[in-house]
Amino acid sequence: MEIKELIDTFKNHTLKLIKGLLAKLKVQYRKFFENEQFIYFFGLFKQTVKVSGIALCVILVFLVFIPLLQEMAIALKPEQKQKMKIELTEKEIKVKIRKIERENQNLQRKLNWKTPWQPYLVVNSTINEFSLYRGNKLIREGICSTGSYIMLKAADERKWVFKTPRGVFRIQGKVTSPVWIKPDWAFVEEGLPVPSKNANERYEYGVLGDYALSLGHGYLIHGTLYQRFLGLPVTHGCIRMGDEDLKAVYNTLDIGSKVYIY
Amino acid sequence: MNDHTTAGIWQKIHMKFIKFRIYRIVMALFTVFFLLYMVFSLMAPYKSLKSFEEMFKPDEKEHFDLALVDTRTDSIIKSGAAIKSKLLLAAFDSISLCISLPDSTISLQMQGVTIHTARISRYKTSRLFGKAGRPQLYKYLSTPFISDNYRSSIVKVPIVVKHAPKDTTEANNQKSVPELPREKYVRVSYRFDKPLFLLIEQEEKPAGMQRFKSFALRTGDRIRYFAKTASDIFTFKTPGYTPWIKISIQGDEAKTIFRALPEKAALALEI
Repeated sequence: MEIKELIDTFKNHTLKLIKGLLAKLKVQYRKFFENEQFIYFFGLFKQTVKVSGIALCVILVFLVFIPLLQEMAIALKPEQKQKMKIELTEKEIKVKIRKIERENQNLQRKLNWKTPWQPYLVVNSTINEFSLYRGNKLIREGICSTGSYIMLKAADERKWVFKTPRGVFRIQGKVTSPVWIKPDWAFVEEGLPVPSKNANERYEYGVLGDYALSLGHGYLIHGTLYQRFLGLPVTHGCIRMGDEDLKAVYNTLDIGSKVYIY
Repeated sequence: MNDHTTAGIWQKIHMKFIKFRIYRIVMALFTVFFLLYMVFSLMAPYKSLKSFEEMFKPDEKEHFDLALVDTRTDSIIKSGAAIKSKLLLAAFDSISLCISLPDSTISLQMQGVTIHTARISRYKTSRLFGKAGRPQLYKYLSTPFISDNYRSSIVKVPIVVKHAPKDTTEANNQKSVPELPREKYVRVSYRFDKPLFLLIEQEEKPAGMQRFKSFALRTGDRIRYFAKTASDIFTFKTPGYTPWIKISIQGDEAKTIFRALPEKAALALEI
């Protein structure tokens, strides 16, 4: 019996305590939410949400909905019926269609004649790939390296941009075991003093691979010691190829063959 | 004290009235602008269609004989017009663009030789092409389009400035394995001398910050269009509507095509 009373007393006390706490919380809650500052900021927040919602809807209407409506407006326009000037019979129409088809074929032939009959090389300098063609037939493709697009600025205000020129070029010369005559930028880039024009330091052997094909203005298609960089834009404007690819290109292209670089 | 309170109340009422009036004026102005914008915007395609048909009115002597306009001949004549345009492009020294929507291909041509071809994964065109008169459309397609301006998400010439080293030690420190270019979202748009807006976009969905960039670019285009239309409305002109083509291709292909084309890109189009 005593234990039961004790439990009841404990229960009552606990309940009283909780009730008291809740009442205090309620008062605090009221104080907080009935505070003028809170009401002001809450009102401001509500207003901001409302205004932003309306603004978003307006933006959506102007930027998305109206352009869509525009397209739908064109769709509503009835299909134009072409009026025939002269009434033609089915046979006459077929004859005319054949005539246009023949004309198209002639035009296409004219366009096809523009493709060189000699082998030619196409170089994609953006993704560093090449394709070798004979007529319209692809005979070899692979990776190469083209200009790095680095602008080298020397202390004496001179500057060079290492990019592979785009356009149509012709093979102007072919050599085996080419020797690299180092231009000024090669010394500037290495932090070395620039030697005189015919100085021995300018001649470097074995760095351009086994073959080189000249495109004019100092640009070459050549080999490289740095085979691991093939496929990356790392050159000073020349086109570098792997040994086997270079050999195939050298053997296929003649002097005067076209090289398309894009 | 009493007078002062009454004056205060009157002042409050007056302020409320002014606020209400300003609100109503703003709302009325906005409604007028909205209605004008809506009406003029809906009129724009019709006006463009009319001017398109006047601009590309075929001559009597021209090959696009009205008598031949028939569903069977449509694709043949359009294909012929595109070849004519390509032949004209072959006379250009620079790289030009050829788009064939029936074949879903986009290619680069140099002096008549196709040097690069990419597959179009999806495309959308303005409905104006379907509604324009056939002979006018053939004339429109039979000559190249020359671009007036372009906008792109990537740079055309990605130049990196490097200062020459002072000595060999500094040069050795500069030498490093070249970095692969970071993937960037590719989106290029062209406007041409003839009414056409061409948008080339990468088909791969952008990720991370590039996604935000893509959204910003799209919204930028829409805002520019809105600003142009609004400025036309304020000057009481019917705003223009430019027929458009939106093309999705692989990101690398889009980059290759954009970088290969000159500033004033030329285009032969087959639709």
